[in-house]
Amino acid sequence: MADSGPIIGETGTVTLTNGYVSNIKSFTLNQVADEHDITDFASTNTWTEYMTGKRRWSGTYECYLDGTTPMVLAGYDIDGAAMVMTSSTGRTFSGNAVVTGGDVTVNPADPNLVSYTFRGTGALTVA
Amino acid sequence: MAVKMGYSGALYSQKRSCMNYANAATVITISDPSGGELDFALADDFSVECWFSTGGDKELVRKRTAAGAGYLLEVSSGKLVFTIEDTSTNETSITGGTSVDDDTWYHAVAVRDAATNDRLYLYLDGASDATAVTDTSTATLATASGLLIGEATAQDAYIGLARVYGAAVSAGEAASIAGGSIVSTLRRKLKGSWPLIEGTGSTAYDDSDYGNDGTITTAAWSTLTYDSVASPETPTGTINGTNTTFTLANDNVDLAGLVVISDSVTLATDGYSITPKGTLELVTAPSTTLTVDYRYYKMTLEAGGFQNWTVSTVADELDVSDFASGEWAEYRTGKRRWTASCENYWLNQGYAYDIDKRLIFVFYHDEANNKSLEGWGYIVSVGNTVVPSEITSGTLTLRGDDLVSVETS
Repeated sequence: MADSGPIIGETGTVTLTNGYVSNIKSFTLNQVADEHDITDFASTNTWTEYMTGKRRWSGTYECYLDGTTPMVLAGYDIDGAAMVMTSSTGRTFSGNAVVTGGDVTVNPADPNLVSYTFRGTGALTVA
Repeated sequence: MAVKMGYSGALYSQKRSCMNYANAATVITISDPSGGELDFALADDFSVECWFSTGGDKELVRKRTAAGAGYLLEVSSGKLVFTIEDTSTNETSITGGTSVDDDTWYHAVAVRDAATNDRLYLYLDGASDATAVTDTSTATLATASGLLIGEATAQDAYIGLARVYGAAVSAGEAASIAGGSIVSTLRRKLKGSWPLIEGTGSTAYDDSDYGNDGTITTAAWSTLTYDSVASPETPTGTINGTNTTFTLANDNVDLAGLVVISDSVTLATDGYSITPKGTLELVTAPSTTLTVDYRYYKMTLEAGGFQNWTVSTVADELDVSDFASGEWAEYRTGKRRWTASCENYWLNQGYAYDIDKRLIFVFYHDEANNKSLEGWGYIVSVGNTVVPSEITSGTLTLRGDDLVSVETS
């Protein structure tokens, strides 16, 4: 699918096996590669040299709590569960993830909210 | 989309302090207020609420001169009795049907409904405990006597809270407040409220708008606000050598005093996990027998005036990448921990006294449908903000001790 320009995020989805993914209002996904300074005596000019190492991915997503679906807490699956995020462009990001944080906030003036942080374990596949 | 608004939430915690009346001299005296808010005229509705535990007869709340005018809620001959008498010596009593002198905690509400039904009602643990009695009063009940919480006679008794409302508590409201809920319409009708949360000192603070603090004679504060099961309980669940999940008969279970015996072996704490709600998960399924000895807190009450709460759960993320992992790092989760913060509008002094104490907390995100997070936690900080032009507020910070569980019923 061609990405032709700015896309409004109104059709994103998140699935997570046995996780709480109802009423998702937003998600973020971050990928990083470890950076290693490999500057050595052979680096003859004034610029440092780098290479990338391990790749890691993590993110957050926020949901409104509803009256029917049981929520889960951080660490509910210690070895990770299958996760798929779909952006508005139709691209999917999938892999296994562990839930490392879960914050529930209840305030009379706002809808009940739960915010999760997750950490990918193993590869993130983009399709 | 059935999203719930935050006003469906609430915060409850176990009540930690109460007054012990084993000493013959112990009594809480609230001087007769000049405004007359604790006196009631012929046509006035009013109600008296009390949490108590007693092994025998005991006066709970009295505003009555000997056998003269006023009102008295007591345990007499083992039953709850509510008596009112007017200044024309017309006395009306209502007696409960349940024996309550068995050293367990009960919630009592005595109601004088003068305006609508001209009856007395008695509720025990949120349910009617007696057939309504016709009120024979023809005059005011007012008396110059002070209000006494627990009379000055020795009894193996405890009182956890006493309140007087200027309203006839309905059956539905009696059930709500027995469950610990704050009913806003009743809250506005409070004439006096002595929650006995201080745990120290000789003053019982009145947290109603009237501020009629009580003077405690021979104060004997206690933290015996729990009940213990009469004998080790066999929890609900199939004992067949494969099932590992069981449910206790009571919730708000304390970690202290917990003894789990599976197949005649007393389990170490790493042999099971338990939630405050009473769900027991064993590492090894019992084949023949399972008994649990435990304490539980029936007196787990809505904490007043909270406007929000946040519970944060965190799982340590452990990098377990090895040579087989390839280019992508691998993780698993480790120890889990939780913290919480809560803000309130009422300056609840009890939490200041309870700092560094472990309590059971129930964080409802949908109270009407019993959906909550429940955990044991310590109050690690209490902050109060008092500004002339603003509502006085407080902030609690909690640190979980052991798990917080997701409860849906």
